[in-house]
Amino acid sequence: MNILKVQSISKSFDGLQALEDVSFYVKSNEIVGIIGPNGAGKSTLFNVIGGFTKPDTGEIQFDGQDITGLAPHKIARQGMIKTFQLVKPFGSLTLKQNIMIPKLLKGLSISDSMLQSISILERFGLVGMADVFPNELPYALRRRLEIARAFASDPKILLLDEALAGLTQNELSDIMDILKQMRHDGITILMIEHVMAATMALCDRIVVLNFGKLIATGTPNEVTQNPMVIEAYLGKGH
Amino acid sequence: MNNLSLLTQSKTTLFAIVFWVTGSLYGAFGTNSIIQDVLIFTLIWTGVAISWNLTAGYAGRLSLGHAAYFGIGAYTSSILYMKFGISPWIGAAAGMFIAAFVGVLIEATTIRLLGIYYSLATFAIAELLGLMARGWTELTNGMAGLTLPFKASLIHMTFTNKTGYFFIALGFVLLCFTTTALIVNSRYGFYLKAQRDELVAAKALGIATNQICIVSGMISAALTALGGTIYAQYLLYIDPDIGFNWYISVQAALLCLIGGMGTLVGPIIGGILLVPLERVLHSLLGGSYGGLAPAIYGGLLIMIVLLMPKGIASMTSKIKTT
Repeated sequence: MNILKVQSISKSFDGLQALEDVSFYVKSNEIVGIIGPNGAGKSTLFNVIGGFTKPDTGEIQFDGQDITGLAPHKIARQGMIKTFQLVKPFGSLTLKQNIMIPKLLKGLSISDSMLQSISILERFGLVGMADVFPNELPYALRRRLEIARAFASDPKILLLDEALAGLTQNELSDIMDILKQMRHDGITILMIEHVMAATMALCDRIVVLNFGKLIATGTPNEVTQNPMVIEAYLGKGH
Repeated sequence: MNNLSLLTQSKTTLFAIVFWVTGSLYGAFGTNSIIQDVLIFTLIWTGVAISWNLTAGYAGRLSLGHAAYFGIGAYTSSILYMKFGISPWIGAAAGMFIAAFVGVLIEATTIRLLGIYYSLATFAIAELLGLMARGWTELTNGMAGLTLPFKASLIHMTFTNKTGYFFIALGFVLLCFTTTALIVNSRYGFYLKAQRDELVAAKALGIATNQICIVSGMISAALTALGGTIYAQYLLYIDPDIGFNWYISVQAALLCLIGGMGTLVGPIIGGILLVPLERVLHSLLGGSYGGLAPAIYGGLLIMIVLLMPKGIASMTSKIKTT
């Protein structure tokens, strides 16, 4: 079953065509990667899907419902949660309180949210830092907090914008394990990624964007052998 | 929050309470009307600062237009009293209601403005309302102002000595404090702080950021208007320069900045320190050396901001934890 259907999305900014007739789908419980060179329109596509940018034309269907043009917080409440390329922890709240926010939004009481927050911190290996503020954390752990907070929303689908960027090999495999575990728990993941090895290892399918157009979709193997993809990354003549 | 910071926070609270108890005892039983006068002003401005802190400190929307709500409160009750003989208590409620309505209008129209743009917009709106109060003479009597009749009774919120005003001002501060504390400690307090820290991330998690900002602005506006009514009743006079003075907005911000923005005790500490300080400096030096009092006051403010950029409330916990 398709949990997310992106149909003929176009978006231009002051005449610059950021997205042109982009269509793809994500099946339930899949991990799908969006790749493409810088400026290909990946982040714009994410912002359109998450409701932060309104598309000029096209339609987004999530879980059988048309969510095009809906406010971001309403889309979030339907179970689509986005994380950010630049991590955005709530700086004046402790880690525990950061994780409490999505639990409170689910209608849980403050004390119940606190309990559940602790168990999520445990799962993400952050429980020793429950009362620490985010700016005291090293970068890799802040990335982990960002994912933990999204996970705390019990999302149906997670949109991860370069969640693996800037991590060391060890940190990378930690987060990859976390993502695999989340998929095992039934969460669908759509991710923008630059770290190729990780993308190839994690994703069931890959969507390739170049200059705002979708140029290929398929399994990691299919995509890497696609001549158009090779040309987009390496230029003509390869 | 760990135990240590909880402890130091409660020490700051204790410090504030001690000041309060002594002040309250004097306000209730004291005989020196000058000291009572200082206490009443301290309470009124503290209450306004607490109200401002709800939307500015917690929601992160730095309003410079709270004079608008203060003036609406002062004028609504005064006009209703003068023209229709309606008790200032009912006038206060009416003022709060109108201010809440205006607050929603202002917040809803400026909701997309962030940072300095929002501050400037609110400042301009407050100035605009001040001009209206000047020009709409049929209603406000223009620059001549409204002089309220002296009919001492509880129903008319008018008293022969200052003790009555003191208790009303005290009740005002308690109302502002309790309202803010209840909101801040509820789930909405978490949402307010989250969207203040990272607006986009808050939306992405599902917080209805616009709505909670508008509601917090509305409550803040209503409480500020109540302060305006009490102030007008205390002076038994209101004119545009008093009711809609831009300095009201700045002072509310100042007390919070000095005491600690986005903390419950911050505006109380700011109020206890600054309002009496300004009054004492003014009465000591105001007559003989005109410009000296504000110069010293301003110099002290600069010192405090330089030494404690996050306000005094943050300082007390810092000393303890290091």
